[in-house]
Amino acid sequence: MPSCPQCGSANVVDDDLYSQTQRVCADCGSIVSEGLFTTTLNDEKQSSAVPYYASTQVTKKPCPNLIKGLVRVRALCRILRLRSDMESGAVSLYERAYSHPSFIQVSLQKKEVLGGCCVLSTCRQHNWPVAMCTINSLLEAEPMLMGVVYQDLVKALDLQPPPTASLTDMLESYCYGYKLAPGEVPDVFAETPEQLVQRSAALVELAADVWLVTGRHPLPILMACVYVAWQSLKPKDRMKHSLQKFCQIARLPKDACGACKETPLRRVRELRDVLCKLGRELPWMRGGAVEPKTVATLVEDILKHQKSLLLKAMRSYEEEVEQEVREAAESRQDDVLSSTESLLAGQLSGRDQGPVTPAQDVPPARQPKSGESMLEASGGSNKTTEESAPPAGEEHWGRRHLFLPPCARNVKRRREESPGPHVTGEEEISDSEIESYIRSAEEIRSYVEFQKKMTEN
Amino acid sequence: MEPSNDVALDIIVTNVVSVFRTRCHLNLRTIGLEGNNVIYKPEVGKVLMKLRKPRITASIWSSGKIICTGATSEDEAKLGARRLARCLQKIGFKVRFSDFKVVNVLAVCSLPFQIRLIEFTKNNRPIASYEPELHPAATYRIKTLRSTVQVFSTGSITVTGPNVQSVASAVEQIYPLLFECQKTLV
Repeated sequence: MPSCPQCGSANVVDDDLYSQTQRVCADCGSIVSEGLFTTTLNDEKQSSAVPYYASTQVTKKPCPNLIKGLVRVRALCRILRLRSDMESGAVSLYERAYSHPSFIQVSLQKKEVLGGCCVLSTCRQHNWPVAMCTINSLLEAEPMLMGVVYQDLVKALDLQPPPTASLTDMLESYCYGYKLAPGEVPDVFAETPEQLVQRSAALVELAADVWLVTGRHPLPILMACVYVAWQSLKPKDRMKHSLQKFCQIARLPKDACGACKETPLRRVRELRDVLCKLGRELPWMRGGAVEPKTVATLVEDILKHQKSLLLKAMRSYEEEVEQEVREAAESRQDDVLSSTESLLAGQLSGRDQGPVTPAQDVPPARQPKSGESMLEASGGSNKTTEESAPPAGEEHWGRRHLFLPPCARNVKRRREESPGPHVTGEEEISDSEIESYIRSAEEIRSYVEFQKKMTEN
Repeated sequence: MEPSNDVALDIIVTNVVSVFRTRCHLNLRTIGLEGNNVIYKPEVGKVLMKLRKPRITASIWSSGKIICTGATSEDEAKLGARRLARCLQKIGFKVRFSDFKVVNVLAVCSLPFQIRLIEFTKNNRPIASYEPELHPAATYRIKTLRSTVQVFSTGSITVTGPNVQSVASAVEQIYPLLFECQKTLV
């Protein structure tokens, strides 16, 4: 019955817009008849669930994971006590990143880490010093994963890489994490944050000057500097406490420094070595040895006269090196002279001398002077006894410097493989060469039998 | 005067990666059985074959694509690849050596001075990037040469590029930038 009961027009059309087809009057819009509600499974299947990313709804409701992520980002910002504009920046960055095609379908774990990366990126853009390690420990995420996600984020959203925060900026907020205020710990251990920051900042600057900072994780160095600074502020009472004890006293969280617990210890050792080298130059030490364990007493004086001590130490080291080079050259010359004389004598007498190796008579380069252990000295002497007669010009440039990146001091010599025959790539390949790469029939048989035996067992 | 004019730098090529095709299907099980110095990895679907001279490791896939790594020069890579193809021919496959291409060259170079990485990154932003918490070296990507240079504070640099020529040009290009950022204590 095609006529509409309301207006009587015959213009009745089938409307398929909704899940039920309806017959509607095109003139007045009233519904003439509608289908039955679906009762069979077949009809139900028409409306299947549409996944979030494929939905074309214009104003999408935020998906639950996005909401959770935003809550997490806000929580992180609050823990780090960021300003409200930075918090809103981080939140909007997270929303942008979340809906970016390279992040919309990643695992939930990565999405969690993405929140942390957005916070880190916002902090960097506002020059707020936060280390990646700190955010890692808050999220309990793997550092590698964080690194990967951070780099993907920078690439995907084309964020301008901001300057890497300098260590001294990070130091202040880091020091406030140590609970050493006068009321919280016994007076022997207590230190106001300002004093701690001041002393640690000087140590961090020194560490940066002597190559202990470049290329390394910042947090272990900060921990080492704060520890040595704390010891040096009341050396008599605090010198006997180890780094672990110090962390307990200050109630540091367990993974404050990332996974490796030994790195801060190594940094403490390196820092103390440097302080010993400088301490040696103090006029009232008169060139006497300075022990790493007791150097805490001298730290204040060393830091006061940092620059001049550095210059002095380097100058005296250079003089030592030059003197040794001169001695080595002289003794080599003497040996060469004596060996050429003996060679001539041998030739005159008509006998064949064995190959002359003046190198073996070169004395080991350095007897460490005044009893202190100079790592360069032992490293250098090892090198000269290993190699055979390096002429003076070929010494590693590192020997001339007192303060070096630690890995440059113990340089591994490249295994000098004899240079391969000059190839052009187009040479003939003989059959015999190839035969060596193919098993003979007998070998194949024995191999197959052996495999069978192995699988049977 | 360009500082590089006075200094002769030793650029040591440590690895050349190349690919070629055999234009025929390869039965990996046969290669695993009949070849010497082979490792068959059925879970990944490839065979690793190691040649002694030149020292090269090849990953052989059943589609006939082969990747060779470990050569120390482009010519060596080609010789090794041809040797490998001859090997497979002898085993019994109808191999045709085709589409040989050097894909990647890795070289190292040691500069005689230390480098302040933070300064270097600041002077060359955004081409250079430095994340001490992720990697101890600063990365410098040269888009025109499609090369990447990793700069360590000790003065060692590693360069990767599509061929030896681009690697050499990359070192030449980056040397003056590094020379500026070298620093010894005053």
